[in-house]
Parts: sequence; structure tokens; C-alpha cells
Amino acid sequence: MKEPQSSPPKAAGDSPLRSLLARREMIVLLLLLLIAVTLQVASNGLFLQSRNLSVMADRKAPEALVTIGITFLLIANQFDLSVASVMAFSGATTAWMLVNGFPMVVSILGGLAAGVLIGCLNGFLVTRLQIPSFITTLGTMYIARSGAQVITHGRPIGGLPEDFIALGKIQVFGLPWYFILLVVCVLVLTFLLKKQKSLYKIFFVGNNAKAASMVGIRNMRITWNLFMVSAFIAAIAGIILTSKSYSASPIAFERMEMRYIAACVIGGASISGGQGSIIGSILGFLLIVLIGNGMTLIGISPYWENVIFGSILAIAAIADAYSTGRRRE
Amino acid sequence: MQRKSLAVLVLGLAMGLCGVMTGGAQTRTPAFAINGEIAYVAYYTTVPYWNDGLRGMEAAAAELGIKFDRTKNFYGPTDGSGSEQARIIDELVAKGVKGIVVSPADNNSILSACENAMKHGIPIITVISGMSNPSTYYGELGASNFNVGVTGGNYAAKLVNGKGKVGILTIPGVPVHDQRAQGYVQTLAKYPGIKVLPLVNTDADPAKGQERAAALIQANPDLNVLIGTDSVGGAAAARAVKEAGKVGKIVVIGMDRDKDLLGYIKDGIVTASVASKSFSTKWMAMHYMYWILADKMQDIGPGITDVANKIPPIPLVSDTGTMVIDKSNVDLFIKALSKK
Amino acid sequence: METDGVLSIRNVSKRFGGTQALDDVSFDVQKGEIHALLGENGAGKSTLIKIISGVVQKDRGSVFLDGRELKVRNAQQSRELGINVVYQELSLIPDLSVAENIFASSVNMNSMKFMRIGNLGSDVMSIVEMLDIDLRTPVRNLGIGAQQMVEIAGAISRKCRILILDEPTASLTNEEVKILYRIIRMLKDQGVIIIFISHKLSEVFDIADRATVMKDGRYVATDRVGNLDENSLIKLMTGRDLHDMYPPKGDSPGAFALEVGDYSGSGFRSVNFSLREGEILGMAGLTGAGRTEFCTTLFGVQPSTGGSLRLFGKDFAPRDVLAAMRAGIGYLPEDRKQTGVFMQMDIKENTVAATIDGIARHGILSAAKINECAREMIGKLSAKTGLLRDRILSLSGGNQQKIVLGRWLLANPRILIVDEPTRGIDVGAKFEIYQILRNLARSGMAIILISSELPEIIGMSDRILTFYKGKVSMEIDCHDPFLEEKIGCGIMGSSFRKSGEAEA
Repeated sequence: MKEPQSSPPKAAGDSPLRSLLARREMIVLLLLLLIAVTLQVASNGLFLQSRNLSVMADRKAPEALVTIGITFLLIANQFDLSVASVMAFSGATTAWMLVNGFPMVVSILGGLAAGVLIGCLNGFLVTRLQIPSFITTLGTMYIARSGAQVITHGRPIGGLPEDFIALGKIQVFGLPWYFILLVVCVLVLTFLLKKQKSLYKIFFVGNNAKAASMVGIRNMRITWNLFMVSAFIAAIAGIILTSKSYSASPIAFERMEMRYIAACVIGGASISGGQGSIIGSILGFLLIVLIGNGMTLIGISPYWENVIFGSILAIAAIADAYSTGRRRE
Repeated sequence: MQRKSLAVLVLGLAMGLCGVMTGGAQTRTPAFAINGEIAYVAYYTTVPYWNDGLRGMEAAAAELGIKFDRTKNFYGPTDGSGSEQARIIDELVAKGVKGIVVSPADNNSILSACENAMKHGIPIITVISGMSNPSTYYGELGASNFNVGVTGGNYAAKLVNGKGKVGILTIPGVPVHDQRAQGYVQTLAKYPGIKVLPLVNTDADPAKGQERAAALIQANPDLNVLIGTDSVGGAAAARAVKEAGKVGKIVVIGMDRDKDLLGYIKDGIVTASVASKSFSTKWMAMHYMYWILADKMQDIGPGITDVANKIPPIPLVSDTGTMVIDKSNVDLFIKALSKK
Repeated sequence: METDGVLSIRNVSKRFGGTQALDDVSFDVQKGEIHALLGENGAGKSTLIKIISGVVQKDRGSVFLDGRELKVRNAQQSRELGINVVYQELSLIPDLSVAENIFASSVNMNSMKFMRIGNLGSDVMSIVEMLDIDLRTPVRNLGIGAQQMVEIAGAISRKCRILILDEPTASLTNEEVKILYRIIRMLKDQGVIIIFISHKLSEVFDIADRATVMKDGRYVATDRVGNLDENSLIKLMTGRDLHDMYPPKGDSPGAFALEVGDYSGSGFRSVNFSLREGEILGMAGLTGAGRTEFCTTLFGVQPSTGGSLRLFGKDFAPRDVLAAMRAGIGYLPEDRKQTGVFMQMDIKENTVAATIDGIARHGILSAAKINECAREMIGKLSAKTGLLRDRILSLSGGNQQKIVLGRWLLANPRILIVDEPTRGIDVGAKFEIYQILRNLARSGMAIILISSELPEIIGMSDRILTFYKGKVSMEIDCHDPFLEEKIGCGIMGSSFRKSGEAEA
């Protein structure tokens, strides 16, 4: 070859600090720290007290789990609007089985199965019938919600057995067991997402499904599985929260799916697929949780909540558009 | 007799004067001072319904030397989420408030949070409705929601001479509404000539409510009573009746006393509304809270008359009653509204 | 010197960071002339266009029009001066109609407050007539070629002194190219200056009056097209002879790699042929003749409807792409953007996309291993890339194509199908890809080459199959004395007769 050899490209990661700072997670983390400091000052030191922090871990960790499944799907360029309804549906199924005399383990498996059923339906409609996931999961969102209403006859099912209620109160190392589960999931999955081959392939599917199928990545199967995973996680969260609120309400978690998706977008998951991280989504969700907590601690009128939430989402969307735009240049 | 009523009048005047005087910044300092926050936790916090109650709490707080401001001490999700209420109550406990008044979104969701608050010595009083486990709070104040249905049901049955078909617009799953609907259903069941159609869900959405009411009217030409278990349902029924051209042919019973609903009563579209006494309910709740914290009720001695000792100092249920608003008195309510 | 209507570029230089993109470039473009601008990627053509159209500001030098210096600060201003650029990437709004799209481009320019529908200029109308399209059709429903025409119609609906076309024919059919030529000539007759960038040299001879060649940011030469031929142009552009373009043919093919018997599927039927190790088999034919359909079926993308495949002596029926890959087949797809690259992903990820399972150990991938594979492959392909973690879309088309090819080299298939491997890439990169393919064949790989460029098929293939309407119409050895004539007959579906023989 007559052309001069181009110098071999340098390996990635030659400037770890710069690449770290460029990551969305860092921006969210800085924003979180800023809010935390503000809250700590504005609440006269109440914010960082362990009692306050443990409330967030106790009440919000199950919902944080749900953002993991949504993150996977967003990376794969799919939406899941059905999660919050699945949470209610699974919780209602478990509660109904419990009060109708089924053993606890069977009732929990029943609730999980109900959720996975919806996830399976999502996967089928999206991959086999090629219906866009936004429409599909919008439909199953209503189906699962109605399912919860049918099972509960429109009223919260209370009077759950003591051993089921005790499940939500189990502590490990002085922390709720599901909080430990969350931490373990986040750490393990953050590590595995770009390392484990099947999870790594999600990025390829989300970035260009056609191209992925041409390099032997079974994108249909991956997408279908992810819908089931997302619904399964939602079912777990729904059952834990049923135990925690001593009841299953047919209107539980209504409209919360938007919060979860927003959390992921704030954390850097792209609406156009191919991007996102577990840790980012969890930080995004934490941001939303901190806003709620700050409202209580400082005593801000609830009328303001959606203004604050909406503004942060808008900032995230602008950041997303900006970074996508810069990439396309 | 006359002297007695004169005495009442004088007392009333004096209290009124007090009220006028306490309306300003100047508050009376009672014997026991509460240094800390009394929080009020509701749900669907952005609907105007809460304003009357908040006014009641502010008035009582001013009188008792408690700082209560609706922009600072009023909490709750903007939707009907019980788990969010639970989270907020947990956070208020962590914050160290002195007492919590709560309108529970449902019977169960906040039980663990209330238990936790009581364990930390923070009294819980519920308003509007109670919960499934009475040991998790001191007492409940509100119109007996079941009685709302009894009152409204009997009122409507009398107007249609005990004969006809009844549609009920409600929000199933919300205990308050379930109880009201049950009051209506069970009261109307006593009239053999009346048939009650299956409950219709408005989802607290005015447009949806109207659409469903219209469908009900169309499907049942002989429908002669429409009932809303809240102001949304009542107003939705009114609009549907008006659009169907059936004003006067269908008796419409609403709930509460929104501007919209009062206007419909004045126009004769809505026959009557059953209103809870939001102001006095919350005014009383604040007083109960003060009395508990100040240890005023000493049935077996100071400091021990407590739920923890199974000696509740206040009644478990205080029925604060209802008011029936119809054409004869609606002007008074409209006037009251315009004063605010 | 007559300056009226002349575009003069004088001593223009531009530096981006460490790269001298343009170095003292000067030449003239005459009024009413179709001027081809040629050069490899990185020669500075795009930068020059961006300077003329005001998107980029020059460091030194001047641009004159009608003898007056042009001082253009932004694209808006250049449009007001009548300078219009039609880029390869379309800027149409898919859901709006043809008329609305044409007007939308004028609205920007005239800052009209209201659109004057029904008042399209006569030039625009004649384009629309040539295209035979309804003005009310949403652009979404048009073919890519027609969309390109609409884009040009939009450009000339404004004041138009200079029209710059950046690879306008890359996605057009032959029929559409003919229409485009008519439009360009019509504009030329009206005295519009047309600058035309293309990697297809045949088009330069078809349409251009003069050509300017650039290399490495410098001006090389300008001449009348009549004085040039393909060989001399390539030499000017690359410094290489055309005869060096294609590597020598292979000599002794090995064992059978693939035996195809009466194979049928959607788009092709009863295909019979065999492929040997170390051989490059060219597939010629018109678009839709069934070549791509056959190859994607072989690759497991869609099911076959009948017939048999024997792969290295064993029966083979691909269940899906993964199965075909495991059996040793690789496929470089025809449409790089749609089915080849992962645009938002980085270079190393694009390189290892087909070998994730192979690189993983116990299901876990190591960053070091990924880097090592990518670096090794990029070195082998002499692809010009930045950092491995740079996004692939920062690369030129040729380098992107090398990465996609490299992806398959990593997978190390025994049969590699390359579908239009050099489409839309510059001459230098083409040359390198030819070398790579031949070297692969020498090392024993069996290669199927699909191309719509006959010189490429002839230059690269050891054996050629022509496809016509879903069937193999002819099989021709590369040493056949009537090679070109036979291919021509094969792709048109007629039978070959030696000259002199009468047609029956």
C-alpha cells in the first residue's frame, strides 16, 4: 500500500476524569448534591438525619426497582407505560388470593405470574405483531388497571394476614430487605450492563435493531424478554408495597409510570434508544424522591410540586436534545 | 327562658368579637403553648374542596396560639395515592411535628405510617373518614358519610314519591365515596318503587362524569333521580341533564358546595346538595389536637388518659353533621362564598 | 477578463485545529457551466462548499462573484445571494406535501409572512412535470430519488445563481438520474453556475463541462472534461493508475464451500451454482433481480421456500442469522446507514458487534479484549479513525465501511457476502477495500460480491453470475473473451450470440 500507515488509534479511557465528567450520571449526581445541601440548610439539618433518610429507603426503594426494568427497555428503544398498572394488578392478585385462603407463597407466585403475563403480552404484541410499544403498553396499562379493579371490585382489599404484612417489615443489617436488594441489583447490574454479553446486546438492539439483526443479535427475543423482566420487577414492587400498605388498592400507583420514565430520562436514558444506565436512572429517581422529601421538610405547598418536577424534567429533556444534537453533528 | 337566650346571645356576641379581634395578627396566648408544627395531610390536594377546611384549621390555630398556614403546613399528594400519604407521614414524623391531622386516601395504606407516628408520641386525628384499625389514631371527625346518603336518599325519594329509577355517580374505591354510595343504596332500597342502577365511576373527572351521566340518561329514559357523591359528580349530572333537556324531569342531588353546584341549584338544575361542614369539622379537629397535646382531658388523671393505655381521651367517631342546600337557602351559601 | 457571472475562488485557506483542510486553493467557475468538483474524502471539497455557502468562515483568501467579493457570514445570507446547496441528507419534512416543501424553503429566504400557494415559478413547475408527481402528495410517499428532485425544486424556487449538488445521484435510479440531468441542463441554459460533487466518475463524463480535482486540501488541476479520461482523473485524485485499482485475480480455487441446488425464496427461484474457497464470485444484475434477496436468504434473514444448500459438504438450512453466522457465513449489508452501522455507538463497539459472543468469557466481556480486537482490526484495515471511543458517525463513509468490513473479518467467516461494498465511498477507500477482499480470498475465504458497478464486478470477480428476474441467467468466467457483452446480455435476460451470428 502506498498510503502512509495511519497511526494506531489510542485506546479508550486515556482521560478518565474528562470522560467521567462528561457523563450524564455525574451531572445528575452534582444536581443531587446541590439539592441535598440546599435541603440540609433549609430544613435546619433535618434532611441528613438517619430517621429522614430511612423513610426514603423504606418507602421508595420498591419503586426504584421498577426504574431498572424501564431503563432496560428505554435502552432497547421501547417504552413501558404499563408498569404502574402491573404493580397494582400484581398487588391486587396477591391480596385477593391471600384473603381467599391461599397460602402466602402461592399468593405471591400468583401475583408475580399476573404481572409476567402482562409483560408477556407486551412482548408478544410488540415483537410478533409489530405494534409500537407506546401503543401496546398504553393498552396493557388500561388492561392491567382494569384487572386490578375487577379483582378488588373497585375497593381496597384490606385485612391481609399478619405473616404477609410482616414480610414488608423484615430488616437486614437494620435496613429494609428490599433496600438491600435494590443496592445489590444496582451494583451488580451497573457492572454487568456493559459487560455481560446478553445485556450488552441491548444497546445494539436499541441503537439500530435492523443492523443488530444482521450481526446475529436476536432482537425480537431480547425485546420480548425485557418486557417480561420489566413486568416481573413491577410485580415484585407491587407485592412489596401491598405488604407495606396493609392493602391492595385498585387506584394504587396511578400515573406513576410517567414519574418512573421521567426518572430514567433525567438519569440519561434516551427516548430514542441506545442509551441509559442503571445508576443514572436510580439517581434520577432519587432526584424525584428528594423533591418530595424536601416539600415535606421545608413545608412547600403541594401546588408547587408539579412545577418543580416539570422544570427538572424539562432541563433533562433539553440536556438530552443538546447531547443528541451534538452527537449528530 | 328569655334570660337564657339573652345570655346565649351575649356569649355569642362576645365570641364573635373575639373572632374579629383574632382575625388580625394578634393572637391570644392560651395557657398551654404548642411549640412546633401541626400538619394536615390530604390527597388530591389541588382541588378547591380543601379550602373551607383549611380556613377552619387556620381559625382554630389562631385562637389556640398555634402557627398554621395553608401554604406551609398543608401536605399531600396531588393524586389519590395512599402510599404517597404514608411516605409523607413518615417524613413528618422524622421532621418532628407535634401532631398530624390526616384525611386518609383509603382505609389501609397509611396504617403503618400512623402506627409509627403514634409510637413516636405524635397524635393522629383523621378527618372526613376513619381507617380500618382504630388503634392507630385518636379519633375520627366528619360527617358520617353513610348518613350523607341517608339524608340525600330520603330527600330524593320524597320528591319522586317513592317511585322511579336512580343513577349514582361516584368514585368506587375511595372509602368516603363508597360509604356515601352505600348510604344512598341502602336508604333507597327501603322504597319498593325505586330501582337503583349500578354505580357509575366518574374518576373525579368532570368531562368523564358528564359523558357517563349522559349515557345513563340516554340508556334509561325513565331515569328520574341522578345522584353525585361529590361536587364533580353533582355538577356533571347537572350538565348532562341540562343538555338532555330534562331539567325538572330528573331530580339531581349533589354533594358539597362548590360555586358551580350552587349556581346549578339557583338555576333549578340541581335540586339539592348535601354538604358536609368542612370548616367546623377541621376547626374541631384542631381543637381536639390541642386538647390532646395540652393533656386537657384527664378522665383518670393527667398524662395517662391516652390511646396507649386504651383510654382514648376523645370520641372515636365525632359526627359533625351535614347541611342540605336547596333553592330555599342557596342564596345564603352563595353570599358566604362571595365573602371569602 | 470577463467577470460577469463568474465565481472565482482565490487563495482560500482554512485550518481546523491541527488539520489544514484547505491550502491556498484558487480556480474559476464560469457562468452557465456544470463544474465537477472531484477528490477523495478529506480532499477539502466539503469545506470549500461550506465556505462558499457561508456555513464555515475561511481563514484567508477571497471568493468573488461577478467580480465583487462575496462576504457571506451565514447560510441565510448566502441563500439571499442566490447560493443554494443540496446536500445528500435531505432536509424535507416528510408529512408535508411536495408544494409545501418547495415553499417552505422559499419562505425562509424571502421571510414572507404568508405562503403564496399556487404561484410556483415556471422552473419549478417544469421540474414537477418532469417528475410527474402530484404537488399535493406528501413527500413521505415519494421515492428517495423524487425526494431529491423536490429538494432541488425547492432550491431553485428561490433566487438561484449558484447551485451546488453534493453527491446528488448517490441514491437515485438510472431513470431518476436522467431526469436530474435534464433539470441540471435546463438550469445551465439559464446561466446558473452548477457545482457538482460525485464519486461516480462516469457521471462526470456524462454531464460536466469542466472538472476540478483536489487532493489533501490542495488544488490539483482544472480541465475540460473532453481532455480527460477516467484513468487520468483517478491518477490526479489518488496519484495511482486505474490499472492498479484492481488487484490481480486469484489462481487456484480450493474445495467447494457452497453448493446451491434449485434454491428458491422470496424474490428468486431455482438458483443453482457452486462457490469454492479462495474464489471471488461476482453477482451482476439490475436492482430487484434477486441477488440481495438470494444472499439474505442464504444468511438466514428470511426463510427459503425450496431447494437445498450444502455448506462445506454438509447439508445446511439456516434457521436465522445467528445460525448462518455459526455455520461460517458473514454478510456486509448493502445499506450501510440502515442496516450496517450503529450510528450512535463508538468505533470499538461497531467493530466487535458481530463477535460479542466470541469475545465474551463465561458471558462476561472485558474492555481490554474489546479494545485489543478493535485496535488490531483497525490497524489491519488502515482505517483512519480517531479514538476507539469516538462515535462512528465522526468517520467518513469509507472509514465507516472499513469498520463494518472489519467487523466481519473479526468474526472470521469462511464465506463472506459483500453487498455493494464500495457504494458512496471515495476512490482511495475503494482501492483499499479491493485489496482487502482479494487478500481474504487468497487466504482461502470464499467471497460473494454483489455490485451494481460493472467495472467493479469485472475487475474483482474470478467468476460472474448474472441475475435476471430472480433467476441466474448466465455464469461467466473472468477470462471469457466476451465478458462484458455476456454480462450485458445476462442482466438484460437475453441470450448471448457472438457478433456475426444472426439474431433469430
